[in-house]
Amino acid sequence: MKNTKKILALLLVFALLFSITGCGNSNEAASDGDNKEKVLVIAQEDIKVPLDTQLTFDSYVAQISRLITQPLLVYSEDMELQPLLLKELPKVSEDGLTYSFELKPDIKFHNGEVLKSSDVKYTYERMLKPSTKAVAGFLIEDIEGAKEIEEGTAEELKGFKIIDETKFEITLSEPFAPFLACLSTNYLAIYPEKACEEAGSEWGINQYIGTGPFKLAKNDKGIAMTLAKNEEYFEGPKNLDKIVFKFIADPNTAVLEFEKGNVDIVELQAKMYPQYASDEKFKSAIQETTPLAIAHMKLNTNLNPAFKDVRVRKAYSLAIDREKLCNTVLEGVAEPATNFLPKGIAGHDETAPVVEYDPEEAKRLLKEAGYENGVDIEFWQYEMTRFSDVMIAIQAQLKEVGINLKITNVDTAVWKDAYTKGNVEVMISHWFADFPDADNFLYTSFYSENSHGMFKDPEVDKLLIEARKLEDPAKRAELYKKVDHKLVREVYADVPLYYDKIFYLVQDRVGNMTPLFNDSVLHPEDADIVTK
Amino acid sequence: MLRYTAKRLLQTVIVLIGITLVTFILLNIVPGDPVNLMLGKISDPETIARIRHEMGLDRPWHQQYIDFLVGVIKGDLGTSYFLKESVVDIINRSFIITLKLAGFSFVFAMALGLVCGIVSAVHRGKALDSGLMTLALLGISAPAFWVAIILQIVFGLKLDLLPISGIDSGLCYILPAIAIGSRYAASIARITRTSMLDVIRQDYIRTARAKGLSERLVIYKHALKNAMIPIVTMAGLQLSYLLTGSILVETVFSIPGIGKLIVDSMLTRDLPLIQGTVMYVATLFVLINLIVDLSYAFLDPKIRYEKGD
Repeated sequence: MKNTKKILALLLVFALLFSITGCGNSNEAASDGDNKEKVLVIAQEDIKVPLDTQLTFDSYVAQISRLITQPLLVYSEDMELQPLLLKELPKVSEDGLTYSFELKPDIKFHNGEVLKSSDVKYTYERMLKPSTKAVAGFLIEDIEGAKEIEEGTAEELKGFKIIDETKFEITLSEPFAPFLACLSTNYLAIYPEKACEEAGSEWGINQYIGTGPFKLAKNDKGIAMTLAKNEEYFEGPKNLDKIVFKFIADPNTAVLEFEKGNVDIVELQAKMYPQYASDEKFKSAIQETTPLAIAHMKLNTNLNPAFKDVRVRKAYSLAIDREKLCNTVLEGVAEPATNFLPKGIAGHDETAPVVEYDPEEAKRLLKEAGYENGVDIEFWQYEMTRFSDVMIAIQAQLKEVGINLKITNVDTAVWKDAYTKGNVEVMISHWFADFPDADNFLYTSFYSENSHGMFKDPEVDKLLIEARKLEDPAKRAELYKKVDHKLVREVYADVPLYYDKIFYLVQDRVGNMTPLFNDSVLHPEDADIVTK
Repeated sequence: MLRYTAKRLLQTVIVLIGITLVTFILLNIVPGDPVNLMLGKISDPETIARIRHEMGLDRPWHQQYIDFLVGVIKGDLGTSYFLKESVVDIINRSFIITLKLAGFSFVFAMALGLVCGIVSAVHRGKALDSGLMTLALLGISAPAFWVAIILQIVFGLKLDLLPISGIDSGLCYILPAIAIGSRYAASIARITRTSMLDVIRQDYIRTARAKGLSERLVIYKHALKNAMIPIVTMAGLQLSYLLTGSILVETVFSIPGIGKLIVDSMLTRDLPLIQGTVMYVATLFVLINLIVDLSYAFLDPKIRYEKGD
């Protein structure tokens, strides 16, 4: 009896161990030398949402999704808009309202279906329909009839006219200069109507089909996502057989996996940069990119009585030593801001110096405004570790001129609610361009209706609307330069801080990794695994 | 015993209804709108209102709660706002992973804790006892995430013996199980030692020794079984905690377990997922406590559950 019990116990232990060890997934993540498959492994955070780019602004989703699904147009590395699924750039009518498109013939989705004009129409309508719960409908709101779909009073997009299987026209309700730039975002990647409808709630989870160079092969939720080469890609198959996105939430763990050789590309946090940059073994593995982005603070001009006074806002801006911030807290990996618009965006003023630092003038202005004994400002910080050190440094700098910044930690949901209702006094943000146009920076943040009550200026509104309608790029750039100057150096509604860089560690065996692009996501489509 | 078990199970249902109701009310009171979060960096009130309506979030909260309860009866906990998957499927997926991790951690903690506790009690006052109890104190004091990082660097990177992260194979669970289990092992060791010392001083142990039984038999058959009640109580509680996951260790080792799921659902105000995970945690605690209570009767024949217990 005793022996039977012992045997049973042993069997149980073995069964447990067997079940545990047997249930794992085979490690497809490693580059496989045996069957000569070229597998690139990228470490990134878990996407936590479906791949459907209509549903999220998440850059980690975009990083994967853009390899599977594609928009009509795309920006080249030198910031030129190029046709991708189109034969050529669309023709625009003289009044700037009607765009004529022609698709490249015989482009196939991963399921073998040919891309048609109706798929484009379907995709845009899906984006606008309330039932989709899409996030970026605003990108195509200017198409005639878009509002009606959003409001649920129409099913069809009136301004979208299908001419034949490859030709279609889009008519806008009013001229909108960055329209094509909007269409180049991955949020407007074209979906195959039939497959998307058939997939229903599985779309973006287990089913996700596009025209891109890679296909969704496997979705190990929360663990990894595997993409396989699309042999039928219309521009010819790519070098890599597979790209595995391995989900590693902790940046330190991701870097350890890189050191061990299990991961080919990993983002290197700015804080870790000095350590790896001074390490002979890893120095050459570092690649960097300067995204079209700005770290800035928006001041609510309508909430705190002190901030209603432009002199206090100016003092706030003058009290911040951006050079020092970049050289100390940010370890020299960021560049002090000169404008709100970053370099590379038409409207960025190349002649502008670093935003002024003058603590004495800040003190004088506060005194003049009646705050010689100091002024209290509250800053709500949500879980954004990227900014916590920066904010502590800024708090100390502000203190020197008499601005007492009280930092209160709240969770993101609480912060977002307060922000949307215009109830935060100051906000810090890292704005990454959705498309390389000043409209995406200025109209999105400072047009009265979009500023959540933080800023309202009829003149700025007028200039922003005017710039949206102008077709002449030079004139548009001038207008945006003017608005930027006004916001940063006249009304002090915005306090630009710095333009930072993104660093990656890339294994030596990864070849042909294009210079990292400036849209904050990786572009590994042309990479290769080489033996060195 | 049957009557007692049925009564406790009925209490479980009442507890669960109470917990979900309180959670529902709290989530409706605390600020933070899942739709606003869902929309991300660009959100306007019109779009928020439209999507809230589409998701039925503009209905009175009690109506939403009743719908939720009806769903629960049908075995449907709803669909996650963010993951767009069935909450039951998501919890099941994470639960299986957490179960494996908790199993490994529990076996490690119990094995190490019991051995150390018994050895310490038997060698009371000697160097071995002091050494083991100092280690136990260290085990309790060391934060699990710190232990996790040290283990990753030493065994994962430097010695290259075990995987650094992921759940690709059974080997992947060893380091996280040690990171989580070391603290629990230390607690078990301490309580085992205390409990064993209490029992060793009892008359019946002296009698057993006087009868000429071997020391091994005295310790393992007579002393340990009688010392088990406080150990089982603590082990039960620990198992409950282990099965609710460890957010820090799961994050460090990239394990998509239940701990991470709970925290993520809270941060995103994913109401169906929060309700689902709350129900999961509550059910676990209640059931494990019930099992622990029932196990007392097996460990100590003097304990019987009668009417009115």
